[in-house]
This record gives sequence, C-alpha cells and structure tokens, in this order.
Amino acid sequence: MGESVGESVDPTAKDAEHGRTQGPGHGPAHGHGRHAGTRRLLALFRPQVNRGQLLAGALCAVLGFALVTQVRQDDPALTTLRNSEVIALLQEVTKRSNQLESQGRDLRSRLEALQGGSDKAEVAREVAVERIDLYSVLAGTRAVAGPGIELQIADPEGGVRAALLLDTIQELRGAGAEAIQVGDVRVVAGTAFVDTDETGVRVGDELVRAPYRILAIGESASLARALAIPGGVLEQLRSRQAEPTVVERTELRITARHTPEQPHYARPAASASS
Amino acid sequence: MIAVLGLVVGIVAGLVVEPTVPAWMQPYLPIAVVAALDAVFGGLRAVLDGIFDDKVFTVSFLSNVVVAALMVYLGDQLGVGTQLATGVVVVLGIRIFSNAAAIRRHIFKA
Repeated sequence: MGESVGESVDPTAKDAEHGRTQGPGHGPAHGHGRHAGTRRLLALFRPQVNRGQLLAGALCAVLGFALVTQVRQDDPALTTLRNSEVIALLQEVTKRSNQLESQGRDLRSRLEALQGGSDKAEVAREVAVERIDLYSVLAGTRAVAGPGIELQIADPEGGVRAALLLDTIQELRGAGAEAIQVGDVRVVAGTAFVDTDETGVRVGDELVRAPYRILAIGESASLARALAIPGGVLEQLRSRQAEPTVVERTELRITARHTPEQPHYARPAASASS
Repeated sequence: MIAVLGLVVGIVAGLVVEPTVPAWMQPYLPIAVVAALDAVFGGLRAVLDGIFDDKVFTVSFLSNVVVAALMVYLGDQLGVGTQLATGVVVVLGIRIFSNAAAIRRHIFKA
C-alpha cells in the first residue's frame, strides 16, 4: 500500500534525454542520473495546481489536523478504553487505594499516640499541680483553711515551756493535724521550739508569749480527743495552771506562712527507681 | 508542494480550532493517524522513485485508515483489542521505517 505507481510530476524535465508525458498517467516514468531523486524532491516544491495535487493537499491537511488533535488530547474518558485497559486501570486504582488505606491507618494510630501523649502530659501537669498544693500545705508556704481546733493557753504563771508546747504540737500531728500555727508562726517540720531567758518560747524565728493561741487544721473531733486523753496535753497544761481551752471550729484560717530555705547540706539522693 | 501546504494548513487548523474528539472515535484516532502517516511516507517515496500517482496515493491513504480502524474494531469485538492494535501499530511502524530508509537513500545517497 505504500508503493504508488504513477508518473512523476516534474513538468520541466531537467533531463533533456527523456521526454515526459504530463498529467496523471500510468506506467513507470524513468529518471536517470545520480540526482534524479533530489530533482524530483525539489520538483515536489514547485506548486502545480491540478486535481491530483489538490487531493493530496487535502488529505495531508486532514492528516495534519488529526495529528495535532490527537497529540493535544487529554486522558481518554473511561468509556473509550478497551476492556483490558479498564481492568488494568481498576487494578492500579485498587492497589493505590490499598496503599492509601494502610497509610491512613498508620497516620491514625500515630495521631492517637500523639493525642494520648498530650493527654498524658495533661495528666502529669495536673498531678504536678496537685503535688504543689500538697507540698505547699506541708511546707507552710501558703495560707490554708479548713476545719480544726483552736487551743488557747492563758498561762498566767508562765509555766509553759518549749517542751510542753512541742508535746502539744506532736500530739496534734499524731492526731492528723495537717497545718499548725502557734501565735503568728506557721509550724512546719523544721520548726524548733526553744526556751529562752525571757518569758515565752522561741518558736521558729519568733518569740511567742502567753497567752498562746494554737490553731490546728484537721479532723476537729480527733484533734480534740487527742488533746484530752488521760495524761495527755490538756492534763499537763492544767497541772501547770496554764488554763487551756479547746474550741472545735468548722472553718479555720491559718494565714501564717513559712519561708523555706535552701538546704545547705542535704541534697536529693539518687534512688534506685528514679 | 500543495501537499506540504495542505499539511501545514491542517496542523495550524488543528492548533487553532482545538476540537474535542468524540468519544466513539477516541480509540481509533491514533491508529488512523499512524496509518495515514504510513500512506504519506509511501507517497513521498513514490515521488522520489518517480512513480507517484495521486489516485494511488488517495486510495492508499483512505484504505490504510479504513483498514487500520477496522482491525482495531474487530480486535475489540473479538476480545484481543490491545494485542491486535499493537500488531497494527508495529506493522505500520515497520513500513514507515522502510519507506523512510528509501527516502533517505534517495536524498543522501546513503
């Protein structure tokens, strides 16, 4: 189909030896010489308006048009594909969808881990805040309120000594007092009770004199009971004519605060678990 | 010359008009274009061989396109669409190569 039989379209024969018949015809035309092909190619570029040329031109126009259109086409619509192409496309889409599915699962689990992590951080933060509250109560750095007892010791004869005050404090602690104030001093673990030459007792850094006012926050009934046991603090105070009175209260405010100091000698020891 | 002009005109028209190919034609257009290209290369070779006939060229052009499209259609119906289309393209490619080789021999004498 690629071979055409016809006559050359060169009207002005450069080759003088051969006469040529013009127009469409049949039978092979002969061109001889080494440059016959090139001549014919050049002759191609000479415009000749005859029916054959126009038809060839029209067909080439159609070819050019179709060529450009096909090249510029976007992806064909699914309906134009053959069955096997559609199946291949489906397989590819399925594979891709599976990949995306597993990626999605991975990302979701990572998101949960991260969210859980942030929840854990939140919980840790809340625990830390609770601990701050707790430790500040124990360390006496904040004012606290709650039920408890108020112990007034009139002590007109000055018989109260540091040892007795300390016993009182220990008794209260043993009964579950969570915060204790003597006079204007907040009593914490490191608070010392020292006898002085003057009347009164040195509690911590301050000198506290009679009448002593001791506030303790805790379960008021337990605290009162602890003080009142036979041979206990109240008996001892009475035996020294100190005239103690205990009042249970539902709402006490301990406003005295203790300023903690950095320890000079003690430091946290590394434990086996942390 | 008119043929070359025609080709240029067709290409420019395709660029300007930018038509959308109708759906039924879409599987056949590429094969038809290759078949038409084969006919054009054959015609060019015939010119260089001095045996060009416009009637033969026209008939070969049209019949190439029709037969190629028919083969693709038949292949689709039989269920061997892809394979048959591949075969048609391969054969057309071989013919284009051989025509191009003949043209090259004419022009470059090599």
